[in-house]
Amino acid sequence: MNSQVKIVIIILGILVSLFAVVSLTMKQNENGSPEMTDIKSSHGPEERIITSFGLDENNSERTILLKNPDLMDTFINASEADISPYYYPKGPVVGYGKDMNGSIVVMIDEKQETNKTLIKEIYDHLSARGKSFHINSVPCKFISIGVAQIDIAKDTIP
Amino acid sequence: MNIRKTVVVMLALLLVGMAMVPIVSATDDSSRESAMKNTEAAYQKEIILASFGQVPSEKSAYIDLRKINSDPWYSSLRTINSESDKDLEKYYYPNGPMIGKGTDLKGSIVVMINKDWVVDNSVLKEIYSKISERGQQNGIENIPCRFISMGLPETDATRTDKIRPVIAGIKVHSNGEYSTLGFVATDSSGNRGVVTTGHMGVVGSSLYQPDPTITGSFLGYLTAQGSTYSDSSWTQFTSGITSDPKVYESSSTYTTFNYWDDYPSGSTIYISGVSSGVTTGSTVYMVNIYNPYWGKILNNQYYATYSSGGGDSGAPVYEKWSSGETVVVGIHWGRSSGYAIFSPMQGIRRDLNWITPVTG
Repeated sequence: MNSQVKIVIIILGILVSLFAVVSLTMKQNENGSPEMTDIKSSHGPEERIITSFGLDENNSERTILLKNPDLMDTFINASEADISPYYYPKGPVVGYGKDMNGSIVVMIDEKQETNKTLIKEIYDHLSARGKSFHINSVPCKFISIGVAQIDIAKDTIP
Repeated sequence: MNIRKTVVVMLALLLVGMAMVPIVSATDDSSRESAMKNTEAAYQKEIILASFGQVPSEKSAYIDLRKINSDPWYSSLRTINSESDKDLEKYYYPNGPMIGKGTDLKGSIVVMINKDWVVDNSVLKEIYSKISERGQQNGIENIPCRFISMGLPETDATRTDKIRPVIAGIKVHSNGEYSTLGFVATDSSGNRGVVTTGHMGVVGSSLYQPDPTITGSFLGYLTAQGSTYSDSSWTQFTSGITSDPKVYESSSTYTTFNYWDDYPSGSTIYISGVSSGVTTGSTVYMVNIYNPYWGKILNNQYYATYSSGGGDSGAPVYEKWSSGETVVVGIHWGRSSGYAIFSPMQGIRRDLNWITPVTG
C-alpha cells in the first residue's frame, strides 16, 4: 500500500470520527438543560467612609433609630433644612439619608477636597437636631461618592 | 489509480456509510420517541376548562402523524376547524378569550383560551355551539371539543424589537434617545399607559417602542413627568396599543408582575434593562440625592448594588418573593461610584398623580 492510499484512509477515518462526535454532541444538546437566563449579581463597591460619629456598637441611639424607622425618617425630614445649604452644586453634599443599618449617611462629592471643618460643621447641625429628638449621639457617617449620572443612551435613530 | 487503491478507497467509503446509517437511524428513532414523550407530557400539563361532545378518553391512542393527512376523521376535523373560524372571529384575542384553535392528536377540536381571561362558561358554550353547528353540516354529531387554558404565545423577540402587547423591560425611544420601559399602569381615570424614565423628552414628546422607524411603534405622548420624589414620566397610550403587566426577562420568559409595593422590602432586587439585561443586588442607602438632569435634589431615592448601564433608565426594579410572586417596587434611573440608583414606587405614584401599576 503506497503513501497516497494511506493518506486517503487516514482522512476518511478522521471524517468518520468527526461525524460521530458531531452526532453525539447534537444529541447532548437535544437533551441538555433548558435555556438559562443570565442573571448577573453584584455585591457593590467598598464604602469609602471619610469619617463617622456615634457608630460604635455601644451607642444605644443607633439601635433606637434602627429599631424605629419612623423616628429615623422623622429625624431625616426635620434635619433636611439643616443639610439643605450644603447641597451640591453650592456645597459638597450630593446625598443625605440613611443606610440599612440604622445610620444617618451624608454623601460628599468625591471630586471635592475633603474639608474636615465643614464636615464637623454639618455634623454639629445634625447633633443639635438630634438633641431635640433626645438623641445625644446621632449615628452618622460621611462617605465619599460621585455625583449621580443618568442611565440614558443616544439612539442611532434621531 | 490501480485496482488495489480503488478497492481501498471504496472500502473506506463503505465504512463511512456504515458509520452514518446507525447514527442517522438512532437519531430518527429517538427523536420520534422523544416527540411522543413530549406530547404525553404536554397533555398531562393541560388545564382543561371544559369538554363537549364525545371526547376520546385519556387512554386513547395518539394518531400516527405519518397517516394524519390521509385519515378521513382528521380530514373532516380540519374542514370544520377551518369553516368555524369565520363564525368565531369575534371570540378571538384581543376582543375575546380565544388565542388559538385546531386539532389534537387524539381526534378532538381544541380551543385555546387566554389564561388571563376570567372563565365564563356561557361564552365557552356559545363557541362550542358554533363549532357543533359546522360539525353537523359536515355530518358529525356531538363533535368532540376541548377548551384548554393557555398563555399568549411569546416570541423570540429581543428587547429592542417591537413587542405587543407592550411589557416592561423593553426598549423605548424619544427625541433621539432610548431607555427601558418601566411598567404598565392606569391613571385615576382608568386610562392605560406606561411609566418610563423622566429624563427622556419633555411633556408632549412622542414615545415609541422600539423606535420611530418601525411601523406602529408610536405609544403616545408624554403626559407628565416626575422630578420631586422620582425620576419618572407617564405616557397615556394612544388608541389600539395592547399591554400586559409582564416584564421581559429573556426571549422565552415574560414574567407577570403579581403585585406592586411602595418600597423595596429588603430582599434581593432585580432590574431588567435594555443595556444590562436582568441583574440583581440589594438596597444600601435611602437618600435625598442630587439628580444632574433635573439639577436638583430628589427625595427618598435608593442606592443599590445591582449593575446597570446607559439605556437602563426606566427599567423596572422588582422583587421575587419566596412564595413565588413577582412584585414591582420602582424604576431605575442612574448610577454613582459603582452603585445603581432607583426611584421607589411610592415616589413615582406621588409624582405622577397616583397612577396605579397594572398587575396580573
